[in-house]
Amino acid sequence: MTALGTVARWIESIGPSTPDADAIAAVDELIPIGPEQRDYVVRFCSLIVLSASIAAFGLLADSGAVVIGAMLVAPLMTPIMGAAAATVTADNRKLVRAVAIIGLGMVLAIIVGWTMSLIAGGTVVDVRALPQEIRSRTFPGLLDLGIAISAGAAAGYVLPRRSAISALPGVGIAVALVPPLATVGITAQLGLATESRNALLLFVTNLAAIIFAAGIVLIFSGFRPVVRTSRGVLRRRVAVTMALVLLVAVPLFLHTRSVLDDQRLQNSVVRSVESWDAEVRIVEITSDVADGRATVELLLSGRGDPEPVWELAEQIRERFRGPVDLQVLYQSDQSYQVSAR
Amino acid sequence: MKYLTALLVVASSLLAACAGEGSPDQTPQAITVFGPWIGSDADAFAAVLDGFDGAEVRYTGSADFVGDLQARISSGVGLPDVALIPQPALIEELASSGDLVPFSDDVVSAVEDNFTSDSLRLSTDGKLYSIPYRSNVKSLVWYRPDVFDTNGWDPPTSLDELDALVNRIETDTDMAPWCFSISAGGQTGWPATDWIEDLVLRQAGPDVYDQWVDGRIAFSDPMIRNAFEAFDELVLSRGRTFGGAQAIAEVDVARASGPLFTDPAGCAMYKQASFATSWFANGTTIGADGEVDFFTLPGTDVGSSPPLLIAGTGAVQLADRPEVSELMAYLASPDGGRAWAERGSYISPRTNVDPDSYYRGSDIRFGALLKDAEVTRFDASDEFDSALRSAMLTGMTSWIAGRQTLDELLAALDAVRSPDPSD
Repeated sequence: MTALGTVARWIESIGPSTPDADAIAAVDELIPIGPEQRDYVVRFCSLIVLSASIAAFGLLADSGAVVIGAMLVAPLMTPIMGAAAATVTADNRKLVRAVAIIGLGMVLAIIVGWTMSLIAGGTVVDVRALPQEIRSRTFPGLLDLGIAISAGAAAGYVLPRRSAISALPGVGIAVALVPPLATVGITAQLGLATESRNALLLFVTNLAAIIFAAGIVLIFSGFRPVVRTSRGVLRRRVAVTMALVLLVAVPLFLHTRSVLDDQRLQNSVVRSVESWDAEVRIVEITSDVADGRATVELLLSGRGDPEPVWELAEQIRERFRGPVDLQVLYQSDQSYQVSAR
Repeated sequence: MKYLTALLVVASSLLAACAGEGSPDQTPQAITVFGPWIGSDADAFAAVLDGFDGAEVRYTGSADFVGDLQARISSGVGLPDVALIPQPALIEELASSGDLVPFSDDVVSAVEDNFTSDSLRLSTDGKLYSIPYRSNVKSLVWYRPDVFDTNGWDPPTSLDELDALVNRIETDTDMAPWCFSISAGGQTGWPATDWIEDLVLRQAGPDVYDQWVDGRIAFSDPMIRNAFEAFDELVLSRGRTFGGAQAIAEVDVARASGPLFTDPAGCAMYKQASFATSWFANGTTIGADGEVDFFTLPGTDVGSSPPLLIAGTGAVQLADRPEVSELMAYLASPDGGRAWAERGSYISPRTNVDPDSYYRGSDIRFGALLKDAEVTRFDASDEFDSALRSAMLTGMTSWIAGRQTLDELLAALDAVRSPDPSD
């Protein structure tokens, strides 16, 4: 047996071979078809507009509680779960429908964010003047990725189990997809292109992580490609599904690599400062990894003169295993710049 | 469900493992190189080092390079194997104190194959310690052709014309004639010393310049004093620099050109060496049709070929290991500069390269200036011994800030050079 075959058999062996009828019905009901579909789309659009409005006002007012309220109203979870289920079962018609609805929701939420910022945004001249609730959504980090994967897995677990439905609001809060979209609109209206792009990146990678994690949990719950159709059709469906998986995996991979690099750099900097000069305390770290090169700005305080800063840069380079540009401001008045290659 | 839990545990362990940092990984055989280049210059030099076939090389550059190197040498701890020193006087001091390794025969012949004997400096013991690795042309004045065109100004061809142009800029426009600052950490003050050197070379001539560098003519001599007074009037007078005294003292030299590029322009001219190109924003186009262009600071006579103040960085060896000598021979060869020349902002006094194919963009013009100049002289403050250089930097900084009179400054500098035995 090939290695792939062994893995497939293992997956078969650990989960139920097919989900029960109730689970299938729960997943099927995510996006209604037929005459109910129209009502669903109207309801979805209304809730997206309302949720994005609440989120936008909450973000502009810097109110975490209001933003959480918007998450509870947000209806994005159902089409996302629909997309995850359709991906796992290789049901392209449902997949296209789910993706179209997600796309519609994205566009609406961004437009609402943009409009609300036009009405209530005022003039933000500097990124630092942005409310904290908005700024925190323009720096996608490792924790955001962890939250998205865990929340996606929780959603995949809850949805086919009507008995666990009480957990759904919590999942909705954790997944939190509408506030990043409103942030995209708000920052775009304020002319902050980088922040807007970062918020969109946060949304796209969250979306990818959620579909990915939920898909894996659905596989463990017994969902599989439907094999009632001819082999050619099934092959085409699986190809489309694989394409979507790739589409999701690429931004997820790039984003994961980038946040892991950032995290690795921060750890390297903290450890290096500790072993470089025991008398020195880190007041603030700003670090970034771009094209494999680390840029680090450190605000340090301590007693007396610090150890030579070139030694610190070399330690960071050895730990990070890559080139480093280091700028140190010591005691607010001594400035040092070192590059280690 | 236990499988799901197991999967999540495995996934989070993987994430944690990836996020953890590695332990320090010192490779004992790596050659360590220490120099003054940071940022994009460090990248360019690292690209050169990547082309070296021998041992692994690690470069570290510090903005406070000279102070850091002196501290490393005096403590004897963490000595680099190779250093790139922008001050010939410091190289001579280190050679005299036995801190440098004289080049092996192989390195000497590699250097002699690639450079003219004029560009090489033998130490007082008759040995060769330094490769003239990178040159800079200092006597350049940067300006924006569009701003000059709009206002009907032409680059001046004599110091008198420059004086008239500065007066015109001051009276006709809201912009300051000059962008100028001297803040550079432990080396604060050096852009001001460049001005004095350029003016001495022009007003008093190369012979007087040489005697001044050698200590045969004092700072308080009227010929040298004239240069300080001319600089004071041309640049430091009220309203002649963007941001005034505060900007001169506080803006980092690498950022001083900023107001030249704003719209409307904050200043009309910016005197700085050829290496200023690496301080301009990425993609800045240079030339008569570009965003910025330069003219050579003119001489006293209209249309005469102005003398050129130059500077440069020498590569010296501090460790006597065969692989380090191999690296020095590589740095002397055309390949030892090629990767940097291809990126731009690199010229050298190498003789066996074709400037038109070896250099890029405005470096071709700098290379031609260097080659064609009738009179070139090395930056005096880099030729002065450490004590005098340091006194000149701090003294000029105090004088510009108004904490010292010109008489006091010149007397103090003469005292450093010829200490009174009764003191």
